Amino acid sequence: MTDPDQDEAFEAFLRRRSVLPESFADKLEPPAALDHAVLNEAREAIRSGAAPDGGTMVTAAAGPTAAVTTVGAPTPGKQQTHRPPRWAVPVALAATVLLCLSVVLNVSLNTNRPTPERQRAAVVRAEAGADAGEQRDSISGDIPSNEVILPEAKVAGSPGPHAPVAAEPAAPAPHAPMQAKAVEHERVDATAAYAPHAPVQTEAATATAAPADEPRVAARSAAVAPHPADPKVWLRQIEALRAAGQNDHAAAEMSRFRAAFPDYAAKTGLPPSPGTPPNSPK
Amino acid sequence: MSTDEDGDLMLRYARGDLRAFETLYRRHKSALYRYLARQTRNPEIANDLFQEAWSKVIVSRERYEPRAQFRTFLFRIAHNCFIDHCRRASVRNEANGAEDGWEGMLPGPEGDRPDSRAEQAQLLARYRAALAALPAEQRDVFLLYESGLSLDEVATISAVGAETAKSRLRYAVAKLRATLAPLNDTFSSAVAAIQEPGA
Repeated sequence: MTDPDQDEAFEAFLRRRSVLPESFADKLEPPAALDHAVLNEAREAIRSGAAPDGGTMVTAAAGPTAAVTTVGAPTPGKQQTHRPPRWAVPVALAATVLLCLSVVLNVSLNTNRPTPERQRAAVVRAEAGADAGEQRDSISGDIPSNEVILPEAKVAGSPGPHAPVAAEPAAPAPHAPMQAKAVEHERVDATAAYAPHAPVQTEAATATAAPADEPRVAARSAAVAPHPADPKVWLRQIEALRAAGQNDHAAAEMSRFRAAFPDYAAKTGLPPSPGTPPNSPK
Repeated sequence: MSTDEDGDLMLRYARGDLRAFETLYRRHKSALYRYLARQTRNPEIANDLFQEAWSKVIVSRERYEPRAQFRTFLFRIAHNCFIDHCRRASVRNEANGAEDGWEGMLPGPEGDRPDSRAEQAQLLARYRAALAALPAEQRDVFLLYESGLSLDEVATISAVGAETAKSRLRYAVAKLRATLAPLNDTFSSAVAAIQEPGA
């Protein structure tokens, strides 16, 4: 049980909401500057928010308690419809960032991806290496850093210093590898572009091959590696090889020359290459 | 002033009607300022919290839904502002012993008679001490109720049940009354002066 006096006082307080005498007039009010600051903030919030369509903020009176009305303001529902949803900006930003990231990733991943020409060149070289008896060591140290090596590819070994460059599809004969694969057992088209270092590489492969395979390897090398279109240029190169003491290379080149230009050899009366039939296998 | 009217004013302000906000502000600014002033007992802090509370009302205008009375919404914001302030500055304990800001934070006696002023100054000093000695929960409930809120609103703002709020209020009133008992004459006359039930 509670004290009746206390109950009475509490009930009185509940009615009057103060324990102080009425003479203590409560005149506590916020300062005028505070009123001004709050109302200004409210006004600025409206002004900086979504501007009403066609509406203008008009100050009806000056001073801290200036009444500001919106003239020509649209109906509330109308204004709400023109306001973008809250998630629009974050979603748009996220989508933009995602798009940029995907583009950058795509570009960076495709930078070092092997082109079809490079892949074909690697396949051709792998085949040439297999025909040469697969006795080569890896020449990965000679391959440019940006060249992709297929896992199963076997690159022709012991090439000259320019061999990888000669097999590059970016060389002056961009169609050479494709032609070589297509006409593996045919004579190389005389209009093939000029690739000065390619014969050196194929020569190296031929030199390490077994002697019994020489005709086949030479023919394949002739088919694989492009040669000068002009037979006179080719002959000058062969002469240069002989002059340099590379007789084996010169002989192999001559074999290829005969395979490529049998008629030219007959006309000029070049000595027949040992072990090479007058006409190359077709 | 009705719940629907305040809520409608807030909704109108959210749609860009500044006049609606001015009406809301005029209605509630005094009660809110008194509550904060007596809670903080420091005019500068009270001003800051007062402005902070209204700023939050302004910022949240688009999210406002008139599910409860606007007054409850406003005082809950102010209550939370005060709680945050106490947590930030750990001023609750400091404020309990603070004496600097009391002047002007409590109602002043009317009249110019020197004897009356001395009596009322003594009453005020006791009242101030009693209010400061109240537990924070009881003081909060007391000041909220004194600001004009109903017991249900006080309970909502304080996040307690209505009975808990009433109990805290009862304890607070009893302690204040006991403190002011020595000045029985003045206090009794004050209690007797109750003329407006439900005001």
